[in-house]
Amino acid sequence: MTCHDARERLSDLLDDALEPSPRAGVEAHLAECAECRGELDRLRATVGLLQRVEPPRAPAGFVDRVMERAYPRPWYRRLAGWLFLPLSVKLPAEAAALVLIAGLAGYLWQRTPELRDAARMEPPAPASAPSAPAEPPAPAPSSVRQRAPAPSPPAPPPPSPAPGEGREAPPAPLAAPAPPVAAEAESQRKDEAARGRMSSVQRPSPAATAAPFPASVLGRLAVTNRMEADRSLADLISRVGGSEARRHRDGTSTVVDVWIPRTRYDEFVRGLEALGSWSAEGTPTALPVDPTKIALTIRIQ
Amino acid sequence: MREDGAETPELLERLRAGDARAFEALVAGHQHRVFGLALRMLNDPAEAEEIAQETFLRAHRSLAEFRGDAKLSTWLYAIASRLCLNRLTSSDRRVARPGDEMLLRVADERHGPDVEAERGEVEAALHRAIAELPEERRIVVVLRDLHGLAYDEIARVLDLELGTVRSRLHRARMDLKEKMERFLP
Repeated sequence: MTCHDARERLSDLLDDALEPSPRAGVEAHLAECAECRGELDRLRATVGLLQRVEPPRAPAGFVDRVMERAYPRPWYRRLAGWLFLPLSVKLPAEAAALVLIAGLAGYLWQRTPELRDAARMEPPAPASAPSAPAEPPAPAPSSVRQRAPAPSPPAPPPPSPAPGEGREAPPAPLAAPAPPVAAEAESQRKDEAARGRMSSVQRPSPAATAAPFPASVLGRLAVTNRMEADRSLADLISRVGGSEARRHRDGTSTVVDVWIPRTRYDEFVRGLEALGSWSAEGTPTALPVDPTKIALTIRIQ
Repeated sequence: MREDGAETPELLERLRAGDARAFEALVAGHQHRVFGLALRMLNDPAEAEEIAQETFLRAHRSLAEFRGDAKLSTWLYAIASRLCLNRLTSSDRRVARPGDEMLLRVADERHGPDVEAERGEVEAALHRAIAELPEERRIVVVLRDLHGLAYDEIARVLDLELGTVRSRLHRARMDLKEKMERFLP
């Protein structure tokens, strides 16, 4: 056997695909021919390289794509597949959306005081703070009325404001111990701010503006100079930490509704008496709407 | 169907009956072999997927006529080989550049950079050498040495005489040996 004949059969020899007779001839030649043995070794190494090549893998989703083409779904099924994702996708997505919405709502609640105020103001006033009934206009300048009859016994009189002062001390609205003035002023400022915000959010209608002021004390202040009295009253209100809630004209009179800290009520009354002739009807025995403040309606004439 | 694509009489019955699940199992079991053959023949992953999909779709259309006198894998190889050879001879095919390493790397996505660095040179040279083989030799050596088919299976897949298979395989191996000479001991 020649080298050429032997080399033509090397591939079959490697695969053990030779019949016994030609195989014996090739093996006999290889035993004598070093070059052909070297050729067989290199061919074996080449086949070894080929057989070690890692087979490639089909790309991801190949089976799905084949199935989609082999069993095409009608258009409405494909549309439904788009619209209605499987539960394994939908449930986590919906849970995440809920958490997001709840977080957003909480954030808005914290960041938007109007929402909190609106929620706080919705419940009705407590029973201890009777709502003011609609009051008829004051029949006469001199008439001073107490808004409601006091169901409870009168509060004990406050300590005398100044020794030696002959006048009867103005009444203390409640017997409860008064909080510090600073705290009251703070509380009042918050209330005013809330009212201010409310007015910016819920613009009151004219009817709402005309709603009766829940005054615990009504009185008349007769002055000689109306304009000066107006300014002085504003200063006085400010000085005692009070606030003017409303002011309107009623005929020739000016009616001013004010909130005065309960602990500064006496001082406020003394200030009124300094402005002019102040006459109030009795003492505020009814429980005020706000336990820390007294509501007064002052008719300036 | 198992991952190795083993076939059973029961599976053949279900396939012939048009069972979609059985067909899905057939695709899942043979997808890598069919895609691998197409990729080694065409050197283009997109084209290889197209041919592989077409192979399964043709099988799906002909399953009812499958007689079962050959293995399903042999049947699928036959369809895929015919499609590949037709594609390679089609006039509108983009001419694949022999030894296009970029394409081959894209095709073989399992290899990370480290593995590529270690064995990349030899393997790239081998893929280049395979790609440069004439198509009739290339498909024989791919079926034999990369996919492990026996001579008679190759003859059946390619509808060739056994002697032709031997001859083409021998020529292909000798060509590769020459091209890989510098990597051989």
